[in-house]
Amino acid sequence: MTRRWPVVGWMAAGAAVLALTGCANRLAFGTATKFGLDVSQRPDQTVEMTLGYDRAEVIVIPTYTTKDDERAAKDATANSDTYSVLGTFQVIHGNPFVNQALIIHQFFATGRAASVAAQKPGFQEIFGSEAGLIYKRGKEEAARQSSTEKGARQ
Amino acid sequence: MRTTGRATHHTRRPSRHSAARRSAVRAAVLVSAALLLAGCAVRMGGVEHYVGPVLFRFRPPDETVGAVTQVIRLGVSGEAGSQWGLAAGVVDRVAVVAQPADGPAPGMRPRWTTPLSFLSPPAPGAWNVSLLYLRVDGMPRPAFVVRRTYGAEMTAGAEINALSIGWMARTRAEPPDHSFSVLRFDSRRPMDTVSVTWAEDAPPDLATWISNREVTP
Repeated sequence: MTRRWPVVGWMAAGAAVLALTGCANRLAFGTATKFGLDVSQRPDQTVEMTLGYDRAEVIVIPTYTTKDDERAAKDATANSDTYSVLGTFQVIHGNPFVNQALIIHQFFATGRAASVAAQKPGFQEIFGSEAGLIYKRGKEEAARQSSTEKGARQ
Repeated sequence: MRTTGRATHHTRRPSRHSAARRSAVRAAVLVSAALLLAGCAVRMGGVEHYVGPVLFRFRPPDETVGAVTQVIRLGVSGEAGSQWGLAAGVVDRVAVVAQPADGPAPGMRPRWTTPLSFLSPPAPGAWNVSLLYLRVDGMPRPAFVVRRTYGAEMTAGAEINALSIGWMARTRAEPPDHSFSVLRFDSRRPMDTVSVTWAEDAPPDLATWISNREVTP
């Protein structure tokens, strides 16, 4: 007599494998666009299951501890220091089903380079203006959503 | 009763034989197709091996940009080394190596060869086909990877942990520690991807360069 594993069994086994393999504790930036059935693990996060369409942008910044005068990666705790990172990133997701592009532009300063950049006027200006733009666009988007909601109520 | 039974037996035997033959032919066709379309990718220690049919293109590094390689595997294919898995369908992987601003490290210039092919050596920038074996030597760990899957895939490793059926597109960028890095990627032109890194003691005009070229207009 043959015994067949149901799909759920295979998915559970896959999730267990994914959970056991885990991810390296590194600074990473990722995007994902899915259409279908997916069980996956985003960097340093728990396993998640998706059925249908989903899109995600994730950045993982590891925490570090000082060990033998070197900064060694470790799991996050409530009081642990965070790795220094300054960065700007822009992701444009087109509709993949009509061959529209995925465009990524990113600039990162990591670790000691981020500390250096934070003290230099040129980089302060870059990150300041980028942050200002993001803030401005966020306010515009919030205002647009608010007016749309008001229009819908009326 | 016995006569009837025999008659029934005799009339059924040819149909069983033909059904068995059909099943055998079908199995042979499936196994042949699987063997023809089956492949394996092994990446370890700076060397990549692709066994089986793949479609690929690449851009060697120069003084300003790092290496880019795009490999499309078709059919049933396995993966081993830094990433383990099994896929059925199409797996399209683009890997971009970050280029230090002062030029590539010595001995880290990737070379793409198809040792078992009678065709001309693979040409950079153009699509190439490798039916049996593609080897990439001197390939450093990529700073940016794009994986697109059409079909079913189960994979685990440094790039991604996933079990998926359908259409999936994932990217993963790993900016190096203690450095400045820039990445520009457009999925319509993956061979034009730019990934450059500067050490923490970056040149004084880096901020101006970044401001002029990379910051949101």
